[in-house]
Amino acid sequence: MTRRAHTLASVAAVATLSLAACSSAATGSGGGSEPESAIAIGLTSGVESIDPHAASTVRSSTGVAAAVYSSLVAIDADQNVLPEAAERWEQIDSTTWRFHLDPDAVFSDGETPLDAGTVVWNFERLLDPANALSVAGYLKTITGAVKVDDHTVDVTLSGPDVSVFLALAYVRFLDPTWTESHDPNVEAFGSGPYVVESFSPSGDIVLRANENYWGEPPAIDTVTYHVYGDATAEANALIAGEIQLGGDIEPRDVERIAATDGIETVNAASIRAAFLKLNTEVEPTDDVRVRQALNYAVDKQAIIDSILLGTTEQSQGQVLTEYFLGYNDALEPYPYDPDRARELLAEAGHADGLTLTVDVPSGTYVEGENITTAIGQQLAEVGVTLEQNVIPFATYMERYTETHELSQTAYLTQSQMSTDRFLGLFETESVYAYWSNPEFDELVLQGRYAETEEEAAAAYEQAVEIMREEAPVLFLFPQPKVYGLSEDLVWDVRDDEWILPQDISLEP
Amino acid sequence: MTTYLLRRIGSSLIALWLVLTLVFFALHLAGDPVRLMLDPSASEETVAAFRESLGYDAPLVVQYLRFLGSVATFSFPDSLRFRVPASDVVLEKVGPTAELAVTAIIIAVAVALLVGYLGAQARRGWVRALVTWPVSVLQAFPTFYLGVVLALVVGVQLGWLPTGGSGTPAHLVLPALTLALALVPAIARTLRASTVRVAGEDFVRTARARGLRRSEVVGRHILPNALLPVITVIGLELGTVLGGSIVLEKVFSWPGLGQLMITSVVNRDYPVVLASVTFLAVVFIVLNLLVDVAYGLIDPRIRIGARGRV
Repeated sequence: MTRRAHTLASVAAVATLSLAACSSAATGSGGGSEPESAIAIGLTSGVESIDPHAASTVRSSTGVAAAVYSSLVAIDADQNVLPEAAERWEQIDSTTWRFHLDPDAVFSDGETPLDAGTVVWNFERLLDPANALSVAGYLKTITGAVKVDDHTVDVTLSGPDVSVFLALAYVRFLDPTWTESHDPNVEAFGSGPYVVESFSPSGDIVLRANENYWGEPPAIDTVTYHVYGDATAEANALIAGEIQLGGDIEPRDVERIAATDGIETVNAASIRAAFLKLNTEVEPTDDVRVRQALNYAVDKQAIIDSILLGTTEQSQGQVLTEYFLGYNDALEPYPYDPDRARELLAEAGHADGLTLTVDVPSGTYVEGENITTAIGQQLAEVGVTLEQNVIPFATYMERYTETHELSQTAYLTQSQMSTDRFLGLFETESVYAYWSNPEFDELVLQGRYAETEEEAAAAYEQAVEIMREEAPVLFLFPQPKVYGLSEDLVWDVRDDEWILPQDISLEP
Repeated sequence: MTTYLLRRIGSSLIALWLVLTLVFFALHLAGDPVRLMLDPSASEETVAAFRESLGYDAPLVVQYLRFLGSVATFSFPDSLRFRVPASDVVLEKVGPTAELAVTAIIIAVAVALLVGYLGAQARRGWVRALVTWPVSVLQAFPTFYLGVVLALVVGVQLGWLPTGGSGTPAHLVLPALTLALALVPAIARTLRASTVRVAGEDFVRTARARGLRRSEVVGRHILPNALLPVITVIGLELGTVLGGSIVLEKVFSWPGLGQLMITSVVNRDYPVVLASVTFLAVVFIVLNLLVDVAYGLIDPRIRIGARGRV
């Protein structure tokens, strides 16, 4: 590996780029054979390992893993569950799902079958804590997989779970025999639509269409990932034409991109909620009136317009968005009402004002420091002084989750793939909660172990209503998620931040 | 000489141990990295199991001793993110950083020689001013600012060179140039000063008096003698090179040790942070040692001084 692979990767990357440059010209001239199609995608955090069981960053490593490996099922942009290695499935009882594997499914050598034994081995690898594989963190309710016959597998759960398919989409299959003699962190052998042509840890990655793919072949022949130091570097590369798709564009660069011919920005309806966590375990934020007052005192729309340049919308009095099961469309944001805020503060005995501290991780969240500064200015209007405590992300996380020393408030953005996990972050037992409400806990539990989606949705809708009233957070907005892309790229922006190369094609 | 060498090696080892101990405890006082590795929804059992399998449940003293063991053998545990031995990860990134640093030093020396020499020897005052002025201005610019401006102007606006990344010689130009520009002022100023000083020495006057041509005086007598302090300065500026490359690798998305260290600190990939700090500390201390030893060889007074103190 190392030097030689590095050079090979570089050569391949250059070749790809020149191909990308040629391909549009070639289609224009018409005639001749089908041109090779190639695109380059920008990443702001590199992929350190291509082991699919260690891939946990949705916008980088899981996208690559999903291109190279296959899972039982796939989730599309509208959250429909699609067959992948499993052609169909049925529920045996409330805690057992039976999957019938596609007999055509093979690994990229065109021979090694993806059979029941492979599936079972992969679940065992993931569930063994000694392997310390991060995807294991998603398998909360999954207890294992059992082989029924060569092409049939039962997945067993610890309890009913209507969102189990979202977790299953993360379980991608390695070949057990290949894994014995290879290091899956730096090499790949999968059954997905692409194969890895070159990989350098946290550096460039080149994927090529898998010639032996047993499913629908992808439209793009070569996909190159370039890693950039930050969002601005990625925007520069997009403007300079070095990449055709960037997933980490920040609002401040939107105007520059819009002013450039041939590229555009698209705002996704982000599922990552930004809010001010209110620590209900310390004074004075243990008083619900104070927490509500803070919600009334902030003009969220003004922050969206001035700092985020209109790239997102207000949260509807809940951390969930329409994407999630149990989104409550009857709820509304806390209106901007400084008078009401002053009243509530006076009722709570803070007529003379009060001082709060906000923890902000530095350079972590989109415009995080500017947003809390703006919130501070608005809170000053109702007599609340907000002191900023800007700290490195690692220290912030340590105080938050390990030493349990969160200040009265903290700026945070969070998301999860399913409602039960997302609301689970606010359950009493979660280290992230800093809030305890037995009624809310009970409803989340009901939703988690509901037998049907309707039952689950009903429980979650009530849970978020309680959360709005109790205000363990100052609801703000979904953190903006802006994509920059070349205009001849055909791709549906996904709300869940996945970029799957097999979903992308080029304008004819 | 042997005593001197042993003394220097001994104090180098103590310095290394102090640096590493400081870094180890500073890092571990901020807590362990397990939760950052896992999804927030992971259960407490999963967190505990991870912590145990990675060894972060052991008392800090035990972890510290294990770390010293890793340093002694330079075989660090697996990186938490790359999942391969941390030493491999670090060594893989040394190449690109060395490439950047060496190119930058070559450019810097070439430019500085020209600027420094002209600044001292040009006959016309305005030529001297023209070359010394920009150098003073340059010294006032922080490297990262220069880098961002160059990326925007040359990369984005003019589109002459890639904005960042690596792979072709074209990718190397902007970061190496930026880093070189950060080095030019110190080298050029030293060269200018020492050229002026050497030009006033008796042996230069003698050479002139012998009727040698100007080019011979400069080439044979002034430059060789004026270059000695420059070599020292380049040695001292290695710190600037490595520090600057950390910032510039970020700006130009150069896949070297600097970027690796930044992301590893952010992600709390402890094995990689410790392995890269160990590597850099050793490199620094060895270079310092070499410079000291070289001095000792060149200038006997230093050796005598050392023995005198024993």
